[in-house]
Amino acid sequence: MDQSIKALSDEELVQSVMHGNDRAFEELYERYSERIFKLLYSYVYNVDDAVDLMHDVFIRAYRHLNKFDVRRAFSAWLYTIAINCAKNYRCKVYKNDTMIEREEQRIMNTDAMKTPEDHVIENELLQEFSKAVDALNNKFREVFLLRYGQQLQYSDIAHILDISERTAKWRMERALAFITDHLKKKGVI
Amino acid sequence: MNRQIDDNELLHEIAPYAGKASDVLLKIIRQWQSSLPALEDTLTSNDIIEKAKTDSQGIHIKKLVAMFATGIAAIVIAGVMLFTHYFSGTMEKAVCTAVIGDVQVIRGNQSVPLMNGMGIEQRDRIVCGKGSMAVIEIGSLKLRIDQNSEFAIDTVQSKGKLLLDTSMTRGVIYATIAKLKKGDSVFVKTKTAVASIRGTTFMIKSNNNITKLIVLEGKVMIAPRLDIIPQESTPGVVVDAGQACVVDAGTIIAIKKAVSMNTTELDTIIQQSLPVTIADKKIIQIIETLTRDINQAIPVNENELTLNTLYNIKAVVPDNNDVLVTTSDGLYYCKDYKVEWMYSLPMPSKPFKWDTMYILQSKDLYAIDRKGDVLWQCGIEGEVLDDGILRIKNTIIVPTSKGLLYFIDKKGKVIHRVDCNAPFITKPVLFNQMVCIVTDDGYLYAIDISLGVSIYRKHIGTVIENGLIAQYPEIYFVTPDSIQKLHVLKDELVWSFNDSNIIDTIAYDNGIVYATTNGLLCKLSANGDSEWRISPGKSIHSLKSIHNGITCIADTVFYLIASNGEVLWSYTLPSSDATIVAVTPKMVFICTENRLLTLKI
Repeated sequence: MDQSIKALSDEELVQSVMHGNDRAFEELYERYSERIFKLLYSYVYNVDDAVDLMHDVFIRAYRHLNKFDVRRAFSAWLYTIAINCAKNYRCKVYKNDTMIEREEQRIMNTDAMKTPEDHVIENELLQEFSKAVDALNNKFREVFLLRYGQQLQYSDIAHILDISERTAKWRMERALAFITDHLKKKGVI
Repeated sequence: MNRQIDDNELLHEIAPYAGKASDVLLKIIRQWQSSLPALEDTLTSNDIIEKAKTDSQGIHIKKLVAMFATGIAAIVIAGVMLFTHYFSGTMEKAVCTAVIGDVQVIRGNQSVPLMNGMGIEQRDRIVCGKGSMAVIEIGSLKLRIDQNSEFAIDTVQSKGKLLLDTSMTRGVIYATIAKLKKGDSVFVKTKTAVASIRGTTFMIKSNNNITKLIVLEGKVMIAPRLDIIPQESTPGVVVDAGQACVVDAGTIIAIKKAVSMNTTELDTIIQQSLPVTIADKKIIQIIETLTRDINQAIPVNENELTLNTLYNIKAVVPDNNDVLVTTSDGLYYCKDYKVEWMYSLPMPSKPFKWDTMYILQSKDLYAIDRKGDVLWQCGIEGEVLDDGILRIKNTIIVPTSKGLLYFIDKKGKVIHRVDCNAPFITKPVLFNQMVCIVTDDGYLYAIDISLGVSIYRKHIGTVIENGLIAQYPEIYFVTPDSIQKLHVLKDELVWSFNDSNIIDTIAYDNGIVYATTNGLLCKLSANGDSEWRISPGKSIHSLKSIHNGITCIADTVFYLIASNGEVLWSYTLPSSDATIVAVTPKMVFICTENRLLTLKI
């Protein structure tokens, strides 16, 4: 890809896409597809579903790019779309499916290089941790996933979720309190 | 936007909760981060674009037939418009995109009400009365004219270059404009100053004697209006993003005096007379919110309460048959689903109804009556906690994010100010002649109402957000894994009930009802006995107690539950983000993102 495109900011790329430059969209897709996929995966615990949702997020973004305000951060806009898609998915699927079971299964199947003992210990830790994250109240979970899953600053999280930075920090504190409490009870930490 | 959070930062965040186990938790978090699967086998960006276009085409084909007929009409109209445009010359189109309340357009000797979608012509004067506002778009300029403002478009032309002269005699405007092309010019004149705009977001507040400019983005050049020299040649000062500048009548007199003495260059005098200062952070935050919302028109479903098309609904307060709604820009008082008045008050807190007054915060604490008049205003430190205000006879108790409790009387006078030294985790509750509240550091405080002093303090540990319920002489406090009943006067624990993952509680029917993260709703009697237990579903939130039962939302379903635990009826909501914002004996008000639903009980 052309180096000049790589040097452009997200918002400049959006403007370029709006002028018909599909290569600019390719760059945006390259920058964000992995991150959005990981965020979505943390909601749905299924690779195929996360990939489908990720496609859906980018299709929506492309189709509604004309509604994007270029003075705002593109990443925040994209994360907002992704969170909405993930929430809709959870609403539809949660009742009929035990998503955490999928995650347990996936954790069991990873890391083939470790010893059986390592496997058992690490898998238990991760499974309990995933259970705690999954059991979080929606509002606390989304802050947790954006902060630790996506490594975002509180100011960015506040922007994406349309809440104050103080509220974002408070929700994160509640999430951490809940997770540590859960892990302590299970004897993990 | 992304930045790897380093181990130290992570440890600092988790240490207060994990303690000695912080290192282990850090390791688990890092493992969890690296265990997330990598993206493989995905569509290319071209596939995405193709799919987006194909899907759009699918939608479009359905509309094509209708569009064909519309298209012919549009061609005819466009032809007429082009003809008009060509012969009328060069008028840039100015259109009203939102209007609330009494806004008049003075055109020549006539005054007509401003309507949504109405064109604004050169030399039109827009007058926003009390409780009203308007948004005007001219090219890339989006302009919000606030209540009690007068704003005029003196010249608006576009001969390849935009020439826009506007003036305001009083009031407040918020504006945002994209970067201008070379040769474009946009001016806002007030009684005391002229601001030259070059692609920016800003606020101007003015009256006969003073003009205040605050710039959020870009730059604005501001100059004093001096009748002793031609306006175009008056030098000014540049106000950058995050800065403010005030031009008042006193400044102008001083400049004129210095000019008449002819001792210094005009340029230097102006530079010295117009100090550019750092803008107040709170004001910048307000402008950011208001101008951001100007750019994001939010459609509201036509079948539901339609307040305006600009702002998200934040809170709803029913008042007999009327309803007060707050959005990020202010208050809207609605009668029969129509806005009767609006009051611009940036980022208001959730209002608390106090007889015929509403108490809310927008930086200061305000009391506003049902006509939209401010009865009093009082400065407080910190942000008022949502739903946190407690009324006791002729006093309200206002908890703030700074760990302060303000006792305020009906005239807005602060009677007591109690500092609890840490942010609050619960709302205050009435406990005989005392108010009880729990702080984030795990202390339960009991404060004497008449004296305004803390008379009891006990460490009870972590308590959940709504986890304090008072039934004198006892208090329930709820931790994430237990409910405990404390006899405060004897300072002894009456009983303790363990259940993991408690997320919300309410006092109900001389006992307590609690929800768990695994989707259970349970009732405990005053003795701590389990009376009933039902399973409405995951993500129970928005618990409320009403006269004939309990309301709650689980996932996307609203439930009305009788006092014996029987589900009376349920209703599927359009979104999982739905929150019960208000309950009256007849109605439940539910907010889902941009919509407000009302369910009859």
